[in-house]
Amino acid sequence: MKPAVFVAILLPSLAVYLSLTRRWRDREPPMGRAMAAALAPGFGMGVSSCIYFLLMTVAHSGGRAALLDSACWSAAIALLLIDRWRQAKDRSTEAIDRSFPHRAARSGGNATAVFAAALSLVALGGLAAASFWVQWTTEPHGEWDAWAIWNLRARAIWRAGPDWPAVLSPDIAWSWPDYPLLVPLAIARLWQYAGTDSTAVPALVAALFGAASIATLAVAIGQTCGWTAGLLSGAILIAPRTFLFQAGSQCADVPLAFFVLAAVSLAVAGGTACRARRSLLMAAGLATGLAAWTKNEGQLLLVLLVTFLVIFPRRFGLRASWHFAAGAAVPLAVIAWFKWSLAPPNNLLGPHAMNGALARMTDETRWAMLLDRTTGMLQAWGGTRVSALLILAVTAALIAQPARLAGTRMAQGLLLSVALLAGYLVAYVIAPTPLDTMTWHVSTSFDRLVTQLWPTAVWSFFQLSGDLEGGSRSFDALRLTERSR
Amino acid sequence: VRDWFGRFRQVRLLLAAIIVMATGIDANLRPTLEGWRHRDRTSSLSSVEERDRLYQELAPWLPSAGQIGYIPPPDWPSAGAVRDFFLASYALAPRRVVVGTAPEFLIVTAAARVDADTDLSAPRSNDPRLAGFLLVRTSSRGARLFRHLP
Repeated sequence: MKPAVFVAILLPSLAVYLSLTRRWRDREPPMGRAMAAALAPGFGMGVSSCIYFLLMTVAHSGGRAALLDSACWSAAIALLLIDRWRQAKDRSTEAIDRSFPHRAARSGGNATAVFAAALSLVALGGLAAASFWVQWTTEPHGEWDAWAIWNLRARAIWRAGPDWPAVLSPDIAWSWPDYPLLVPLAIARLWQYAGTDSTAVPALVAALFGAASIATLAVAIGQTCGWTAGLLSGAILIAPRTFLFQAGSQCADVPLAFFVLAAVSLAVAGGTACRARRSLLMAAGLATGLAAWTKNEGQLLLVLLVTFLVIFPRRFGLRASWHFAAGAAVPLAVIAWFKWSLAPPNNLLGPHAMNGALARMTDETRWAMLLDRTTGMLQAWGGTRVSALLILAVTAALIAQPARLAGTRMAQGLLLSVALLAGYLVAYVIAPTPLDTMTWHVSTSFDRLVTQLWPTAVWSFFQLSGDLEGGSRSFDALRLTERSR
Repeated sequence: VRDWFGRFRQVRLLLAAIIVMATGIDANLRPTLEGWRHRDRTSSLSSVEERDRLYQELAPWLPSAGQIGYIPPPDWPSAGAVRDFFLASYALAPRRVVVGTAPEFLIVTAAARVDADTDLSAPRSNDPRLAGFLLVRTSSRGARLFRHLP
């Protein structure tokens, strides 16, 4: 693979890392370096996709867009580095205030427990890498939906040049041209840097989001609950076969899972943290916007998180909504432009498909079939001998040391996950498809929907290990905040 | 009591780590090894790669954008036939492959061929669907590209 591809990944990742770890206000500590490093590659890929969309629209050529893209990112990095140097000079004598999620928690167990958790993660990580390699070398173009939707769109954008909006034609309605373009544009951008449409690039993007999901989960749990739980959460994320298969499939479900995890964990942490809440909520807003730019399901997450902020005004405050909105602004502007000016309406949930939606919504036969099918698929999800959800529940019970604040975080995480799942079920029911088509639709897509929620479910359950580490300064800070309320 | 509880907590952590590792290895090791062996046994291209190359052979004789006609095989819309049609779109992107003979250029795969008595390199076919079309190119695997006569 050409070095230019790695430069294209590194530039936005570095700019995002510098932005996330920047001190935006005097009293606000920045986000922790480990968390920022875990989020940066995925956020970088997402933000660069938004910028590339705007540049393609303005420049009308992939070559010019890539040139402008590299210039924009280089300038942003230079400005952020100058700013960091200036801030460091101003604060050379000032102690840096580090609170959640900046300071690493203690390990939360003796050396044997930490070693066992690390061994689990390393062993399963190695197996995941081998599985990914086998899947890529067997199917270099990805699984069916990957080449029929995401890689097809990326190829078309990369090859079409100035006429790239033609790739959203209703002529290929079977390829869902209304789907958002984060993944295709991220791939097309890397191909433009590489100068060739190598099949290694979509695989690299898939690997990056898979690895970023593990890192984000392990760091988010590790910094609040201790590294034993953090390492274990990373291991359980990749234990189910279905998650690994979807990660290597080159579809957009694992990228979406990464953004859902980031959005929910940062929003919930922002609601419970005493400090750094502005930067957390802005990052949560950005993750939500990027989720909506990844797949249409992400737009449901946006609605739910906005509702979440409105329902818990005492916890968040009106200002929090503004910080969340500021973070989501760029991806949402891009989505609005894309949906209103370029994309055709969605076949299943577009305005024309809403005729008779109420009748379908109240159709008991549809609900009975849907619940019967999805309950079975949910229990069997993961490709494990025993249900992956049961394994998660047992693991969480084994490491549990319940505390009030940890319980709150878990409840909020699970509430959002269940609400998303409920939204998906409603979408199945109201889609204008006959019963047998709906059954087929559920059979071929429900596993992927659960994959989207799996990292968030693991994060939520692992909140139960909160007090296990008792004594982590960051966690104490959270608990004090809760008491003061 | 605290020591005992602490020790018990370590046992719980160890147990959790063992369960997670065993579950992950049990679920992933066998499919990964099977995939590895299958990959070593079959050195040929994947079916997607094979179809991609087949249609790419025709790409130099096609316009860089626009609609391309496609005649589906007789078993349309079986899963295999639909997959093949989607793969034609994937290989020839950003051209938009559509079922029918309305566009100027037309692809006829080997499976869609009904003129078995016609030589593959013959400029005209006796297939009634191809009336008014002239052969432009035949790929190495029997897919033919036709162009509508002006």
